[in-house]
Amino acid sequence: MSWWLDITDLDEDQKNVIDLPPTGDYLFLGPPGSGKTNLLLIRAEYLIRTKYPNLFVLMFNEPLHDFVVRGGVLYDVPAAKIRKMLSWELVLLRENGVLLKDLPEDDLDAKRKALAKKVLELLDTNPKLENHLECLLVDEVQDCFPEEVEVFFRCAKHVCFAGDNRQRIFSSHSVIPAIQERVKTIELKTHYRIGHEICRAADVVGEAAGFSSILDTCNYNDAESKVQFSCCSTDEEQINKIVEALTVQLTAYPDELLAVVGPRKRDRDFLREQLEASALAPLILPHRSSGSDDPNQRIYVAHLLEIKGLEFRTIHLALMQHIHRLRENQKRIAYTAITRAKTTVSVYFTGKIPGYLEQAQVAVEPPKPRPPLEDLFPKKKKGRK
Amino acid sequence: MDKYSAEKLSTELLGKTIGGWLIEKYINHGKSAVVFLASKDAQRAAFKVFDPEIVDRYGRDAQRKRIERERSLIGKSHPNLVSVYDGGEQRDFLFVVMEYFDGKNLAEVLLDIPPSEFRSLISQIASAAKFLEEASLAHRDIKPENIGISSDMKSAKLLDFGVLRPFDLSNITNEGDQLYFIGTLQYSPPELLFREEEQSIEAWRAITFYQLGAVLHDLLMQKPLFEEFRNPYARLVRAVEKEIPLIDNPEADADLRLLAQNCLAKTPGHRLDTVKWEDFCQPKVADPMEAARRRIAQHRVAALQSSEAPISPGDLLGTQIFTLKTLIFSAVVSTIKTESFPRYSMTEMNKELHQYLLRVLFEPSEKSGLGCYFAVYCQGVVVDPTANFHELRTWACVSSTREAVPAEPESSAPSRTVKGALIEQDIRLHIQGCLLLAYAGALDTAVKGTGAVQWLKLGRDE
Repeated sequence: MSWWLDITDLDEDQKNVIDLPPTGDYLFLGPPGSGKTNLLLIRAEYLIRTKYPNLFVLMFNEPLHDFVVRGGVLYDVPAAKIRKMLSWELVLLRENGVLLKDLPEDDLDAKRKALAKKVLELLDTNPKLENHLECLLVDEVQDCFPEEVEVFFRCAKHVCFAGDNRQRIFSSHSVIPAIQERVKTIELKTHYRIGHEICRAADVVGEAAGFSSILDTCNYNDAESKVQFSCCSTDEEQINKIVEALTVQLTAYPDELLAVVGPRKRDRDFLREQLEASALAPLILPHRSSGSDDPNQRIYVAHLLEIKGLEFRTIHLALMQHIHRLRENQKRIAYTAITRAKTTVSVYFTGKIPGYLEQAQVAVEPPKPRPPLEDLFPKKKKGRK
Repeated sequence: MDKYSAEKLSTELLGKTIGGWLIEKYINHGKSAVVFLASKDAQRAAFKVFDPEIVDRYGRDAQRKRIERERSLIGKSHPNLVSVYDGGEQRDFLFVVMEYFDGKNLAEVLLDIPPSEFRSLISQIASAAKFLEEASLAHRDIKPENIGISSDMKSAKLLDFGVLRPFDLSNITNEGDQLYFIGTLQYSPPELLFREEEQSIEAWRAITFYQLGAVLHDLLMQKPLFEEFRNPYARLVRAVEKEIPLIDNPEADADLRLLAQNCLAKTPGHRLDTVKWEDFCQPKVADPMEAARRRIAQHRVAALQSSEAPISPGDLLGTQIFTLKTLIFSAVVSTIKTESFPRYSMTEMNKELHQYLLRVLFEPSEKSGLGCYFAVYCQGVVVDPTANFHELRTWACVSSTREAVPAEPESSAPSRTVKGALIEQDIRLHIQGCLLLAYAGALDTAVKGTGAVQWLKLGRDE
């Protein structure tokens, strides 16, 4: 994560966040790369150093948790204070003697809702747990269920959320408006992590999902960015192209994470299998880890739901002909995936991609010559003279 | 005139005295005249006798007027122009006597000239052409063969005084004529070829600029313009009419390259729009990084051009506006980055197919000492897609509030413009310059009142 180390690195909006009093409930709302997660950690550190150390920073899932814990040391927030949302709930329930036998293990959404319900029941029967924490700081709050948000409000005296409606990848209904009615919103407009060309492509996809532009407020300040589309004739060709590109990128971007991502779990498994059979095998990070103690392991292989909140120098979005299978969430997921990259997004597909991605391709590629008029009419059948 | 007529005239004149000049030696002949070495009172000179046949064909009075024009230069001298000593008429012969230049011409020494001299040589030739214009004359046959080069390669002299009259394709009757014409046609703008030129100082200047551009092309590219189209003749005609010469020598200075490219525009109006006399005498801007960037950019342009299949004008417009937009955008972003500009937001507008406008709005920043909002507007227009002719225009304004900054520049606001066959490097330099001027201007300006907009002047220009 691109950490700031110095207060002069902050812009006016970010300084407004730093200047907030230690008490109060807040939501930091801003586009990808606007520094929400960093601000959340800076606020956590600020609270710990003043007189409110009884807090937790909650991360949405394992890869993100892993990612932040690895970077979090820079801010002196103890790793023990940074938790995955679900494991924090589980620990709270266990510590208070709640049995957890009947959780729906194979449906994540149902499991999360059930857990939140149990915590709320616990709070009802155990009033001393109401507001037992000074503060809960929650990242990626746009993907929380209303029950979970309720848990946060009730467990802590104060809450501090970070989120972005555009990056919602799970539920189709947003909790953000309801949160905004209860807390003070601090809007972060400018963002710094994502290259302009990537913003341009993301905006096209985002427009189809009703989002406002991120190109307008982009202040990215690094190598020129690029979005490219490769239409392949087979999935193997996709793999070959990815391996070829990664080989160059590993050298071009030392010490940085590079991602290979497929739409679904089975796509991820296929990609992992293929890449592990290539020369790049030793450089691939273990399953579901976004970091490793081996500095050579820098290739993160995942499916689209496993990259939220993360950032990569380059991202290869492979097997994208299958993205339509993510149905009503697909545009927001594609949007989130594109905005994970700082410098390069490569989209690979065999056959066809949905119209909103084709539109993004048109926005970043030079126009193609118009086909001759006769080509637009149905062809005569082959063999007929 | 053909060789036979030239020989006939030589035999007739050698050893004779005309107008007090003793004809000593044949030097060469051109379309309309034979040049001899002559002397008078120990002064040596080039003695040009017009072909009596041509004089008859076009009318003696017209030729007398022409000689009068050349005589008007007697006593006026310019270091880069041969001096005229005398001129007149004796018996059937119309003649002009000029300074004798004993040396090689540019066509002969093209490959020997060090690149460091290009800038100075073209400015010398241009200065001679301008001198002629000020005397209400136009050379109309500026080409490497008519430019004498000193033995140290440092100075140039414009020789001869052009063609007897604008040549006319319909006059080309035989092979000999054709061969002679090739040399001149190769360096003639399309309007001369089709005899569509107007008789005005601007029209003459447009011709002069084209020919100066052609000479500059030869220097930069180290080969004659349209060399590859010389045969057959019809191909050369087509090239003059349609072919846009590619000036992509990576070693060439960007400003000279653009100057030559703009001079060689097919439409006289484009030339006059983009080229000024001063452009021929600009000092070199030395920056090795600039040079490296230029090489990269030009290689890219060259690669693109060589791989391009012919495309329809509509597609051409689409491709060019996309490229223009991409280049403007990337030049803005990279300048902001390298020069550490304050925080900004951008708005893009494609009002029409051939037009792109980018507004960049910068916010006040204590750290930078910037007390107001300032906006820079960069507009790219594809003026003529087939000629690769683009216009880039920039405006800047300051205001105390974000809301007051307009979405588009006011029509009366001052701007800075660059036009022509722009490549990445030209766009980058223009935008870099304008952004820096605008930023410095914004820092210097004390913003008056709330919500008022003040437009900034971006250096020279409109």
